[in-house]
Amino acid sequence: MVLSVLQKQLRVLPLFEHATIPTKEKFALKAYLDHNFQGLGVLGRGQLFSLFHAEHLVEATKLYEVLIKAETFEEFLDLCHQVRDFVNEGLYVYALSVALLHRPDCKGVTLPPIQEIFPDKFVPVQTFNHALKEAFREPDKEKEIIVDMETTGNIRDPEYNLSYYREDIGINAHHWHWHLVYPATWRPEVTGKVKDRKGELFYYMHQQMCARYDCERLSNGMPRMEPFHDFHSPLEGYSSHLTSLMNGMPYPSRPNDLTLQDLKEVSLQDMERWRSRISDAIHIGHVQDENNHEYLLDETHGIDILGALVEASHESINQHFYGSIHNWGHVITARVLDPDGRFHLNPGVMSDTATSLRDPIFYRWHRFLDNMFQDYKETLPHYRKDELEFPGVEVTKVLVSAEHANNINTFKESAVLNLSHAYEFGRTGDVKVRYNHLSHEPFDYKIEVENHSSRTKPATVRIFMAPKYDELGNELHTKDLRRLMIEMDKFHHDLHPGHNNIVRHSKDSSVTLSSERTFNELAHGEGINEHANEYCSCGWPDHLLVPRGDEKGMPFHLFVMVTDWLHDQVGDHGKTGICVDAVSYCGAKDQLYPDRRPMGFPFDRSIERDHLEEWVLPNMRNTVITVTYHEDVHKEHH
Amino acid sequence: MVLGALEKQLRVLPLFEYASIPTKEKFALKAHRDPKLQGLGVLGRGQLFSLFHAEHLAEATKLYEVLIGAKTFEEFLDLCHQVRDFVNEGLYVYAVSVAILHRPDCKGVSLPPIQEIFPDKFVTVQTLYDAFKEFWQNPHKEEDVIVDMQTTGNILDPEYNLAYYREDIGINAHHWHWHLVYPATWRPEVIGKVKDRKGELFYYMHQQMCARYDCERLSNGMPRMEPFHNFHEPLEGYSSHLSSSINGLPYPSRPDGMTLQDLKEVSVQDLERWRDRISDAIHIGHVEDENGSHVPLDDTRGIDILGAMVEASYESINQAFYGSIHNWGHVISARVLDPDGRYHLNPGVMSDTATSLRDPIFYRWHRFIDNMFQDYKETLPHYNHSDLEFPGIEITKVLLNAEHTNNINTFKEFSMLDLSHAYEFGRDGAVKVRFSHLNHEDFHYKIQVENHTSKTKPATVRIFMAPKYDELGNELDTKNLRRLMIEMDKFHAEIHPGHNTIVRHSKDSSVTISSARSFGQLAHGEGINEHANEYCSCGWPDHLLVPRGDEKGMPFHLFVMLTDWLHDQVGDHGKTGMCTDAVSYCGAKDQLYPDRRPMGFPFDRHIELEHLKDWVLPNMKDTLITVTHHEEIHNHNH
Repeated sequence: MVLSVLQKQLRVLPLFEHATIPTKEKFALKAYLDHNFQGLGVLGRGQLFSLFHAEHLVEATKLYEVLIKAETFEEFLDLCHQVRDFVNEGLYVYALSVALLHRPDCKGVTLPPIQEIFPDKFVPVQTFNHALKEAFREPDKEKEIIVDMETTGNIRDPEYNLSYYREDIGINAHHWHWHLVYPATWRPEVTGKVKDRKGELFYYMHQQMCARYDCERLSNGMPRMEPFHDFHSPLEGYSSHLTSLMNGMPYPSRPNDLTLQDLKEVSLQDMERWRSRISDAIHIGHVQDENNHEYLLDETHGIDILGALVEASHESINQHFYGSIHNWGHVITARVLDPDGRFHLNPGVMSDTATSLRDPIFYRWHRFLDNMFQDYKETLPHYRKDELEFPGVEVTKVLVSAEHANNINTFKESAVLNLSHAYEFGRTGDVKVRYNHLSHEPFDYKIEVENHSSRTKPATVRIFMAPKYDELGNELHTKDLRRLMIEMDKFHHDLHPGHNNIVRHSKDSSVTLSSERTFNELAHGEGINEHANEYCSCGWPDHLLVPRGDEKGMPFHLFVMVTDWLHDQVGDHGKTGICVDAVSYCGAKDQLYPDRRPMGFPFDRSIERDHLEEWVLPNMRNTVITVTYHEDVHKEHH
Repeated sequence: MVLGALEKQLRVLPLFEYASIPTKEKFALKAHRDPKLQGLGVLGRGQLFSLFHAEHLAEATKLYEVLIGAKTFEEFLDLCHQVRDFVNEGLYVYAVSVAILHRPDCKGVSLPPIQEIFPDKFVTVQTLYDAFKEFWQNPHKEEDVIVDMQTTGNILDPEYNLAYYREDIGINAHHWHWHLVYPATWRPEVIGKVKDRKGELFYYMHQQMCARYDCERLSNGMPRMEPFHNFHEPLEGYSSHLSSSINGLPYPSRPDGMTLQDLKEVSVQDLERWRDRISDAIHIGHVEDENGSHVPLDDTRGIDILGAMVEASYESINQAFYGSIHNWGHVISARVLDPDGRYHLNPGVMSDTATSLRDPIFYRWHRFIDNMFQDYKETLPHYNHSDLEFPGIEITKVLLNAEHTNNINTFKEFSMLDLSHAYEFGRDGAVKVRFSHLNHEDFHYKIQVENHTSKTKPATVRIFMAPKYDELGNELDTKNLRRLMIEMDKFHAEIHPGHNTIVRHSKDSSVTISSARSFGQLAHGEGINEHANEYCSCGWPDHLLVPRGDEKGMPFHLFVMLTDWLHDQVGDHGKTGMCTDAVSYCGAKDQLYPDRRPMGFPFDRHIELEHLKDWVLPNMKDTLITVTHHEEIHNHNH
């Protein structure tokens, strides 16, 4: 019997329901325990699973490889039911998600949103407490219950000004998804699927998260972050107000001024040693593999090699020597409150990809890593004119078309999150949380381009934004500006001879995910598409495409560049195909990243001029626009 | 209609059910809100109520005074129903409890155990989650669900060795009860009931808690605690694993190495200033009231004045000058993780009388407080011969009768705590937590006394215990020993001319409470006694009467002293009457503390001789006994 995508979708959804609670049916008892499962169940139930923790990841990899290799869809489901009640809850959801995304027979099957599977990783615990009480009090079991999201602090902690951003459900879900699509332990030789430029994407996606965070900070009148750099300096505090519903214990709050402590598994000296070795490699210009072979960090492969080395992923050229600085950094920060485990605390939010973005230290940590990548980029020559130009093509005008020309309005919007698929409230009516998130009005880019040649030229249009002024009101120089350039869109366009009017809608951005289906929508068969694949669920949330700006209208550079697609292309890809929706940060299904240029081009390297206007060529255009924030809260439109 | 005690009991119990959840029935809507309740509801719902916090206590006092002042039982109940849904949850339970304990028409009505009203203050949150998951999984709604108590750490924190003691449900409930019977804000002129020697009892009860804790530490091979003394010193860490059901947030974990921080309400400098002023008063020998008049700290009233001042209670002679060092110390250490409230954290366990004993800092803080009282006691002369002797009376032999003579066996025992009165599980079967606690075998004291006179002499028998050796195995001299002397019993006996054998059962101890009735038992009318009163519910738990001892049989002094009851008596009290069950730490209903001697006599003052044996008089006897701990866990006998 061949099942349709819809049938598969409906059979897959229950695997994710009530994930923190052991199943009533005890699926596992129905079948013998498959011999493939030997060595699983190491991480106990009720422990917090961490993708950054080597031991957890090894077990998760073992499980997702077994699940991906299951010969039939039925066998896959059967294996899932068997493991559900004996492997760790978080590890189960992760491995099952990776398998679903990568099994050929699950093409078109969509993962339910992680925020509906584990709402406890997204919603402060007071909110749950409130929801439970409301559910208990309301005698009408069919009635829908909606409670408001509770806050996690106040502006006595200046960093709280950014909490709406760090604690946004969408970016945290994005980060979880990104790491599902790009597991650190991905072994192409086992799974048969190559992840192109995975190391470079690791660098670029996180670089962009940092750039976006700094844009948001400047929008809020806050200075750009101080990169982490001293392993012994005191850390800022943070309280997530999250409690894991796996074990009932909080993700502990970190008071101000704690410093990192050695763990049994890794010491600060290890981290410092790895940092020095990576830094040495960058400035010497090559890395050494385990057999002492030297690999050049050249323009084409250098950044990809470094990305894998820093993460560290399965592709790391010599993990023994260069360590795993990024992953252990997450773990060591998360365990600063209980480094030797004497208090049996949960780790902090930093060790979970679904929660780590909440913590201000996440961004400072990633700026520190990014600074290493930038050290490497500094070793490369500036882009020459012939690398930047597009002869015969001139961008004559760029306009942002919205309510007011060259201004984008931002505002808060309310949305709801359904808790009913994660918890049993003993009622048929849904229990939901209402929360606010930043959003922006939809807008169009109107780009006028002259093709002075007599031929149609296929082009790549690259759009970036960056704030014009720093925190003190001084104009940003290219040295700083390029670090703040956030990618807004990148798309293919054929330029006909003469005048071209390109109109591009913000919703079509290559950075963002068009829309995400809720559990209920998936259960009703909405959005089922049998050509959909793993990359479809990955992407930056559209509501955070534009930085907040400020009430007065904050000036931003809107930088548009048109490059020769014939030089950019990597094959016949990128022009057509599905799930090229959010290629910029997530890649595309056609195996090769659909742009030959280094990610972040042309801002990935140092620029020899101080001022952007002295550097722009005819195929580029820098326009100053404003982003204006409005305090009022809009109702969600769906 | 006159209601019987049982009827009242049954009408009172529902006031305490599901206390953290708003009522379904909305009692308050049935009636107009009584004008007497104006000005209440200041402390918001979902906040953690603290008896140590002046503002909270002021509101609670207002409420319990209104409730005590209600003219009829019906009016009292009606007022309770009215306030239930609008005042803070913890404040409500506290004020209703104080009112029931002190209303004449509630004589004989028992309070349900605080651990059944707010199990979240006694049971680790993982355990509560286990319970929720178990009951959800178990489809048989009539079956009892039993889950095991989860631990809060391990011995990587050496202090964890004492966790079984600090986190004992019984001592924490005792502490809550003690503060119900002796509210810091008690105003005799409003309520019409005097609390005799309340300040001295504050000193003595806490001194004994510290002494008992140090006995327990020595039993576990741990050094006696370091008193807190420097307000700028780093504190030890502690994690309670408790989460408040009122708001869902954890009682935050304190990592090692934090220091006290100023609060908006009180600064560390305030505490230091109050300490210095109290110290000055002690060494100068008098305190100053608000009019500048000197009140001497003499040997009859001095300790009571100091106790009230240090707590500080309503009786404090000059709170403006001497502050409220004890109460604010609790609050400031509870808020060390979030001193300015920027993270919206709950305070730590230290600010709740039902939870503060869990934290190692509690004992160190109270040793610090106790050291001030001891400084005062040092200013008093030694007891002279005539203070101590009992002419004509000689103790010839003291024997402790148990399985083995002069040895007490201790062990762990399982007990159950019913969660069903605090949470609505939607099932008929109870949901219970199984936990183990220290206990000891029952034993008798057999005291042989010669009365060399020809008259029957009424006597007070005073029994104490203290370890023989310190943490390094050196014999403790009287200077240190007297601080470790724990009161075991104190009772009246008639000594006839000639030979007397006094037999006293451990269960009859004046320190312990005979039994606390569970919610379920009270609902079935068990233990209803219309002569019972407020003091009946207060007392040290019997299962912790004896320190743990060690596996080898730890040597203890068993010190017995007989004093002349004609000198000890305070009126005609103490001989008869009910609820003289646990007078030693809780006082008695007959208004005057039933022993004229200073509490802790004869060990409250410095002893001039180094060795106990050089100091004992014929009316005293020091016997060496052992306390032997057995690792196995007994099942509860009822």
